[in-house]
Amino acid sequence: MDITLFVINTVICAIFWLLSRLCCAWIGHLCEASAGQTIRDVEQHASQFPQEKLFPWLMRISPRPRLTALFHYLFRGLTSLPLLGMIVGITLPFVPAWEVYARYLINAMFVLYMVLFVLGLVLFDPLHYRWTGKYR
Amino acid sequence: MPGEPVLISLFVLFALSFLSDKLLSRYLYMTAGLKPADAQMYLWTRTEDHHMHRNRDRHEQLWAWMEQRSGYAKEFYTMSRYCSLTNLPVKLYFVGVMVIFATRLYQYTWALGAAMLVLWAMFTLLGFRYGKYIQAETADFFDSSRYKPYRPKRENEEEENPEDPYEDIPYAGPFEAAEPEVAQRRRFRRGYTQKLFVVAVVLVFLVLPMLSSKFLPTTSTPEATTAPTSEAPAPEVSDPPSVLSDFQAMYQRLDKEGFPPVNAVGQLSETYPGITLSDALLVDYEGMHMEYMVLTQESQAQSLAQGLQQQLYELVAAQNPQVTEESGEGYTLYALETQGNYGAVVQDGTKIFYAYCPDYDTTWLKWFLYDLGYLSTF
Repeated sequence: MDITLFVINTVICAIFWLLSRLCCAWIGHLCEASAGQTIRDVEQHASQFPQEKLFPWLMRISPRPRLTALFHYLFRGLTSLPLLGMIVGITLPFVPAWEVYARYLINAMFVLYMVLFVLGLVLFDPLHYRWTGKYR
Repeated sequence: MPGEPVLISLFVLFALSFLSDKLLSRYLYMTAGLKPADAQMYLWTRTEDHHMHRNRDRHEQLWAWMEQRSGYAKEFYTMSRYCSLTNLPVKLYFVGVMVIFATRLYQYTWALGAAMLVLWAMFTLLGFRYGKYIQAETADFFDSSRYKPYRPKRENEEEENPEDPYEDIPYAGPFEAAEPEVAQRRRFRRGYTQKLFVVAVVLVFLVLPMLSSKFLPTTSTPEATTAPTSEAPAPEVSDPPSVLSDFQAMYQRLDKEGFPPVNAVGQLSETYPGITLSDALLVDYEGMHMEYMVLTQESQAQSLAQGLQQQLYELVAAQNPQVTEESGEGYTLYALETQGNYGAVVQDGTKIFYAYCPDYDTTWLKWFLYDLGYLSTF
């Protein structure tokens, strides 16, 4: 059993996991913005009520709860993709033929996160400004 | 490639941008009710920022601080725009050089540099003109009691309210402060424009290689760039891809996959005496061995395939090989797999594909056979 493929895949996916949080951070902030809250508002609320979970609070105060939930789960889903890649990686020592699919998955993830990063640059500011009336 | 003109132009433009930035920033400080000494003092005190969540770039902090002090005044943003514009030529030149390199229009390198120099001169002059206006408008302010030199907070003062990371910076500029909504709009416009510029540059870098490969004539064919070291010449591939023969398609395919083949009609004719080959390819690369032969007679192809199957079996017979035999429309496949090797013989009409490889190439070879349509699964 060759575990080289598994190790390589896990390392790449771990890097992607960090990358995903960077590239999708704007989706997380849009979740807050759709509830009419800026980063500053959220930080202030968090310091006032450190025990309260952020997402239920956002859903409670949000004028557009569906959108808030959508952005929240989108962020969760997109940042979990590399973990899925790691799970695929576990199978590689047992089914080496799946290496091709693992390679496709890694390439697809890289393109996806790069596109999301550029999309964030274009979309975040107008949507944030529209929903909060403030610039960041 | 004209590296020298590019480097000289870039250096000159960088130096000029730095110079104009230093000169014009004086006027920008004025719009925020500051003198250069105040800004220097602020930067000095920002060497250690205790608020980790804030942007740690000191100059970004200075800009944000001045923005708030100016009361988001229109004059501050206009002056800031002139400061940014003087830096624009060097950025444009950099992008332009990328375009020039991608399109190989090297003769325009100097012309582009000169154009950017003119642009820089225009923006700097306009900036100075507006700066003089700012200077005249703020002369009274700096003589009055409204101007207070910047005094950094002492340690004990900062500890008074450590829980509030967002201290409100009071408006202290010489110009009229903007309404909150107008201020947000101005901030948004500036920030978003900068982001769009970054996106445009990224897209230029992404799109350029695609455009250059699509529209520019290539100076060498793929065969020329990956020419095999063998003396035997590569087959001529002059036909358009739609009418490529199987042999030419196979040549391009192997080459693309990173196994540059050599034309081996003579060599393989000697290896397999008694058969007549019209075309043949050979790959012998880091343990991977592939032969692709096109014979003139199908009967000869059948007997050669049987001989190769026998040869392959004898090579690994001692290792208890796993045999795979498949057949389809006009072709037969015979493959053997052991712990350390994989080999296959395919006969498709007058064509023979014979390959064997070590275990690290097994997956690829199986995929290749699968992709050619000879192996049902891999």
